[in-house]
Amino acid sequence: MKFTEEEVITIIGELRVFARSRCRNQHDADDFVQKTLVRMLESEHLFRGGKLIAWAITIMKNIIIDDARSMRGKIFTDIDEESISSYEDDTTFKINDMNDALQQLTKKCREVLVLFGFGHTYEEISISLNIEKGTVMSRLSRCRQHLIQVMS
Amino acid sequence: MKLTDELIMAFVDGDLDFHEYQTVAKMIDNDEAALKKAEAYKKSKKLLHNEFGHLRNQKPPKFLTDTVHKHFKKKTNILYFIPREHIQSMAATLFIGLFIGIFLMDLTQGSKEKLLLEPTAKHVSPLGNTNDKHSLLSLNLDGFKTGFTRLVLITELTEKLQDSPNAQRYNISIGEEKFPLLLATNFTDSKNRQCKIFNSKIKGIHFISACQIDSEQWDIKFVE
Repeated sequence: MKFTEEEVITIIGELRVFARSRCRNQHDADDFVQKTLVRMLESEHLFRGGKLIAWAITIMKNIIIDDARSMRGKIFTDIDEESISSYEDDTTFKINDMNDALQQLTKKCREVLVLFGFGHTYEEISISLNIEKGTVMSRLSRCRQHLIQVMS
Repeated sequence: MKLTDELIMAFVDGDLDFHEYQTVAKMIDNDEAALKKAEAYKKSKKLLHNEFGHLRNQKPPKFLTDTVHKHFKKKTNILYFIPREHIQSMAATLFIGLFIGIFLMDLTQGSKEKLLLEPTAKHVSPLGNTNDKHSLLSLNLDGFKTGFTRLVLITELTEKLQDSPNAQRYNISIGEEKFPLLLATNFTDSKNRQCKIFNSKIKGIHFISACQIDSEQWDIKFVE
């Protein structure tokens, strides 16, 4: 199963916003997007059809796992799995309120929240993340409440 | 209908149909806690859209689109379409094919030489008595005897070819026996050498070819 150049270009925006759920800033997120594009284009023959964005996000998740150790400090740590590092002295990152708030949430929360913020419907989020719409709704509902709590 | 958090959120996000919307709106109006939750969902929606919504209409950075363009440009190369896992096997097949091709070409050349010989050979009448009763026919020249015989043949024939290269018949002495080699034909081989073919009555050797390398050297081979 092959995909076209236009199809790949179309999903770049969504990949960028998904990468934001794992990175402190757009610059680092774009690095992940580029790595993802390279890997998915090299592995084109492995694409078995279905939604290209879902496949691309799966690839990005694997890249993030691979790079997790070397990229520590650039990617968000997950409070459910790892202790949070302090970046107070790091002046290279401009951390705004939303970034701080997202950092307090789990990565599953961040994923649905950024895709929702991107303008996706529940259905589109479920396709991108390859999960049920009901799961998206319950997760989004819970995470948005957490977000408001954290930000207030 | 039970007023769940998901329902309130769907109400705020406009994900309900008209009938559901009206029902949930009434329920929220009569529930202060639900109203607060709805406000929280509205606020989170606004915050998230402000933070990430602009990316939807933002043009992707050039280095990202270039990554994609370069890849699809590269695809115009025909070799790109060969799956990577097949490249090695294809290279091996190509190598084997090349090897077989060279082998067949060699065989074809051999056949040409043979064809070249045949018409001439048919018109050559062997000189001397082909039904001779030389005892070597009955000799067992296996093992070292065969090797010895060939060595003697090469030495003797080379000397005789040097002495009289145009003779039709050469008598070779092996031990106490004498064996005639009868010229069957002359020809020019693929290396442009002048060659001769001799009929042999020696056991195990049907023909002997002798090709002149230079004024003193001859390449002598046996056809068994």
